Amino acid sequence: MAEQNVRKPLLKVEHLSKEFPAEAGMIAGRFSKRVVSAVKDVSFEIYPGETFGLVGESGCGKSTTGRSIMRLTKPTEGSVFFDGQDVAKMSNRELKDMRRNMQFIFQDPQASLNPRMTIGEIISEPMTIHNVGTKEERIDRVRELLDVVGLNPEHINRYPHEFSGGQRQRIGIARAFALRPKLIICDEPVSALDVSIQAQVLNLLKDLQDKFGTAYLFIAHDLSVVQHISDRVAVMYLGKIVEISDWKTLYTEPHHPYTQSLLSAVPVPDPDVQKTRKRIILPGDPPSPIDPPAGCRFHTRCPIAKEICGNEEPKLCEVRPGHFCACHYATINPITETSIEL
Amino acid sequence: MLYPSPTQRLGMEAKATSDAQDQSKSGLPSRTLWGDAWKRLRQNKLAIIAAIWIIFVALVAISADLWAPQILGSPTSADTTAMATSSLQPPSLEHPFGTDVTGRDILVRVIYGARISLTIGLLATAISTAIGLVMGALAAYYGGMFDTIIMRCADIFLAFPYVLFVLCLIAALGQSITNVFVAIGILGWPSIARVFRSAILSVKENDYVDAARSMGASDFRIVARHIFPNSVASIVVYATMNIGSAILSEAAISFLGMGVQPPNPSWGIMIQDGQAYLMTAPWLMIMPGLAILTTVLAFTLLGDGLRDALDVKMKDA
Repeated sequence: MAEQNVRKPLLKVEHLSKEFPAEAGMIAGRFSKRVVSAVKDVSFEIYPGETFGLVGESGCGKSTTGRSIMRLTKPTEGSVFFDGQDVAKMSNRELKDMRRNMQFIFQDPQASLNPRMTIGEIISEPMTIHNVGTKEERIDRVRELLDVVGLNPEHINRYPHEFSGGQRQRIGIARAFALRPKLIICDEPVSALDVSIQAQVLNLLKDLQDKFGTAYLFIAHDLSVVQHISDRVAVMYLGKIVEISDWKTLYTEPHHPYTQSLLSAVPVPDPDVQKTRKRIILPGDPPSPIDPPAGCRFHTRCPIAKEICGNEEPKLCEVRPGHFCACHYATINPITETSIEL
Repeated sequence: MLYPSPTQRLGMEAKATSDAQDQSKSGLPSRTLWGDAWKRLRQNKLAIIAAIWIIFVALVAISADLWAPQILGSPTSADTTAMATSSLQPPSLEHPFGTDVTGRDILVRVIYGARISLTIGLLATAISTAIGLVMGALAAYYGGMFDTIIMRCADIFLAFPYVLFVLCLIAALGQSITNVFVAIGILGWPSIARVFRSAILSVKENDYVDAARSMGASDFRIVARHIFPNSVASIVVYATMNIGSAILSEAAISFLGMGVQPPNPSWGIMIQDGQAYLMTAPWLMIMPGLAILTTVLAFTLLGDGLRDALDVKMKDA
């Protein structure tokens, strides 16, 4: 960790917030002040070559964070620094250069590949856009990439619908790696796949990272998937990061009650161990992001919440070197009556 | 499995040939969207027959001046001397479609009528497609106020009874063949605009558009490579079918007396002329009716075939 803090971060996200208007339409959209606070004051850093996992339940703002970093949606507040440059202040030309070094892998491999382009055209598209190499060189590169991601290079002229879901995600991965980017944002890249295929794709991503030294922002809702691949993990709840740590500490010594309850829901493949575990069941549903609770956003469902939690918003504090937690009662395994073994 | 089933053998053959293709030219452009579409269209017998029929009708109509009057007589001026003998003759070798009340050959009138009908079909569709594409694209692209204004205009156009609107427009513009084209063309845009707008809106939401944007693609590239190819299929199909309905509209307008004026032939006006003799000389109505039926049907079948051909997910490419 100490070594990492000396290194310059590749991506630095500072106080990122994104709000969407709650009502659409000509009149309601213009005059209504109600907004969906999808992401609120999120800050983190990603270092070259590392995998940063971002977990949380659906609707907590993980994908919006990824898309805001990529400038697919414009953040309402905050700034994103890529390689020391502010993404929000980039000209179109600088933005294009930045996109050469930052790529995106989408959740749904079916929707992210243009059905009317052959996979050769799809994978070579980033190279075409950025004018890399001659046409022949690009074709050679596509064949090489297909080989690297475990597809038959002879299938270069086939259409996406001729492949299975896992194969399509490999095509998406080949496309993301076409320009050898420094950072790839993986937006739930395996959640649409079978469990057996998930492992293959995760291993492929790991192998490619070892080979090319790419950093990942790995967005997922499945803690076991994130554990498999991440160096550091951030947990999000209702648009805010509640805990950041290296994955080992997070899994063994969670400091935030929400993290702890999430971990208690991860199934353990050993029935004897599973029997001894007790799940922490949170009462109710996540509150609506249109009108998030005052104070700590988690206090309405937190088993250890006290009065202060509803009044004062906890800051993300460093509880140990490299381990941050946003809770007034941040201690190791705060929900003490439950022990979690991993 | 010892004996591969026929479908498996087919699959193996297809694989073998595609592998051979891949090896012979490993370039990207060996498969293109339009090339593949043409390949699939050729396999659709009905669509090919329809296309041949349309081309045949068009060729006959275009070349009519060179041969038709010599063999079959003038399509417009009645031969007054022959009128007594050749009036209302049933189909025969000399007059394959029979003759009308003034002794004119029906076949030659159907042939000359095809000129009007095909021109109207193509021109009116070209006009409505051009307006419709621009309007639909603007509405879908810029959204907001643009969308609201354009789509409410379209609603207003669609709210009026179609034939009545065409008649009013012709009355306002002045009665001429050109104005019939223009009126039918102008009134056709709202439906095309709607189809194109919804096609773009649904394509725009796809992840691959975001993917292209995240790669740094320009707006032009996104439209040209991603949005247009995925939304154009519906327009090609719709426009083809629109040709048929434009032909029908012209027939209706001429039937009502606001389109082509006698003695010029058009399919609609011929049916109007023939209705008085429906019981005694039915060929007067049946022959131009058949011409409309077959041509409109051909355009519809071709449109159907194009839709299938432009769908990359249809297997046997």
